[in-house]
Amino acid sequence: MRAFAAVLRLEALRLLRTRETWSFFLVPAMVAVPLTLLVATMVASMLRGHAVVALSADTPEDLLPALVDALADADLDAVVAADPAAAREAGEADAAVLAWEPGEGIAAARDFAETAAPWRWRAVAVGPEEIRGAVEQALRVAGNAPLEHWIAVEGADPEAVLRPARVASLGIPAEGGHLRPAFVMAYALFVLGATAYFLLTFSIVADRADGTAEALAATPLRRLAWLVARILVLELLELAGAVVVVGWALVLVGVAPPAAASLGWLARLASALFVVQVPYAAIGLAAPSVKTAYNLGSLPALATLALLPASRSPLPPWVPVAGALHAGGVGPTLVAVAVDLAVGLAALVLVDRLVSPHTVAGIAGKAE
Amino acid sequence: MSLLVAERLTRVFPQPRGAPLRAVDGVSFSVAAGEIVGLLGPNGAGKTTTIRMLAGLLRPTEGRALIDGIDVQRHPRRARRRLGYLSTTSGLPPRLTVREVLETFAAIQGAPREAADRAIAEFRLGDFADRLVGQLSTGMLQRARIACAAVHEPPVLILDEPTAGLDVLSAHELMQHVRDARAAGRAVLFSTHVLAEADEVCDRIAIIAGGRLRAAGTPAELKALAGEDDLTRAFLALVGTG
Repeated sequence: MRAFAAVLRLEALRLLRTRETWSFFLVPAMVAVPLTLLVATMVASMLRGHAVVALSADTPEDLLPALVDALADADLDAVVAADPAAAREAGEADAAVLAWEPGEGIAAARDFAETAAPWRWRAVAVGPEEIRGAVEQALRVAGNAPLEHWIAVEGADPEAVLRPARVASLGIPAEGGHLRPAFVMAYALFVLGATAYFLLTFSIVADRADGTAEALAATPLRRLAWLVARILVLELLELAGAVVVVGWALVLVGVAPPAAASLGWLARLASALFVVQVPYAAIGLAAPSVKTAYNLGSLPALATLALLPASRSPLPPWVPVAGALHAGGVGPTLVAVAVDLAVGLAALVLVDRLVSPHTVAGIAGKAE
Repeated sequence: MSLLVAERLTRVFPQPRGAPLRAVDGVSFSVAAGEIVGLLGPNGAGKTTTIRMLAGLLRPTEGRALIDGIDVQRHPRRARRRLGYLSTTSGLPPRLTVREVLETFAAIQGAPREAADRAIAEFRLGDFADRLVGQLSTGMLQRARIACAAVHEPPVLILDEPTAGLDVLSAHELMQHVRDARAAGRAVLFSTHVLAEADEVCDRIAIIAGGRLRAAGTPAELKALAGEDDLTRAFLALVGTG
């Protein structure tokens, strides 16, 4: 245990004192890329201008003025259309609010326990996620405004009064020209991960070139322990980056969902990153030169990129990497983390067995 | 008592084209406690391959290596706890200080926590202990490398060309450490191309050429065997180029 702790410390010190860590990882991955994504999101939003929401002609009259105002406050332009769905499909609107069902309405405000219907109006909103969310919020604000007045006039207990609107919404795939929040988040993570992976490969190759690997190979230290220590240190750096870039920055500006700042999400992410780092360790151990390591290093990066679309589908937690990225709830998260750690460790043991433990002799290269 | 034993060590390297290369062929010798044995041979003779097999870094095709009676291939970790190893290709992480590196190697070898401080004092590294390894001069770096190899005070030291690239003063200091190790009862095997150095410090010398052990004995015995009064000429005669 003392030996492992010593190697962990050695790897941490070496990583933090390596110029490449700061120049390749921290600056581009943790600052430049997130900033670029953020600016791109803002620019895309500005170029798109105000989104248009088509309201159906049967929108309740006592709600309509307040709803239009609330939408305007959310930078959304409201238009009344005979067929809001058709207007959205024709590109005349970005989202549509349709299929109104009258409930108790504003006039029927009374104590919650007395109401016959559990809503005042019910509508279905259709549109991209970010616009739909704003429409739902506008509906609630619009319905609340007159109700607040009624509560004030009647001296009713706000807690005992039914709140106004119920909105059912349907998601649709994002359309061209929109930066999807999930993609922005996944891309930021990919850049963080890929940079750390390259650091892993090249640090192993560098160790072989400067002889540190040979010096350690002649000690009782297990190579597997050395690899795990190295991966753990990089993993901590990646997680720190993920917390800063995704957990704080992207959540703060509303690009990433609040769940991205949770411990469960971090645990799933850590386990997924552990699996993906194994091929990079193998490349570092086996590549005969830095050039080969560089060429081979792009392959796992591409494989990781290919996993991103897959991770957007609901996959069971026992699918390594992609399952972990999508798992939700405590149970699936535990399963996903356990599967990833088991797969990662098994792969690392396999790498340790398959790649010659005497690779350093290959660097020296001579049969003297 | 022999602390380091090479028993019919053989290593065959498959070649992409042509017959396999028999780099080391049935080499046997031993190093006793409190003894310095020099391993001499021309370039490509098989010295480094032999040393790598002894250190467990290369698997012998045939034969075996024993460190303090422990089979290196069967129990590599136990064997390496009794070994201090320095080769021409082994190095130290350049971005750590000498003290940090020594502490790390001491922990890996299971040596007491004060082992690093003892090594710093023994190898006179005090003025450089907090300097990054990458900033050390060649002589200081070599001294730090030997300190790392010996930080756990192993009974066996294997040094592959430890004075290569050193100036006269640094080489002299380093050889004094080798003598000190002998005085402490350690078994020391070292390879060198500097025959005067070997003549001066070695109790016995093993000469390898073409992967085979050509001769072994004290410097005086080798000179007598070759009929020469100088080790360089004796060496040339024994490897077949004199």
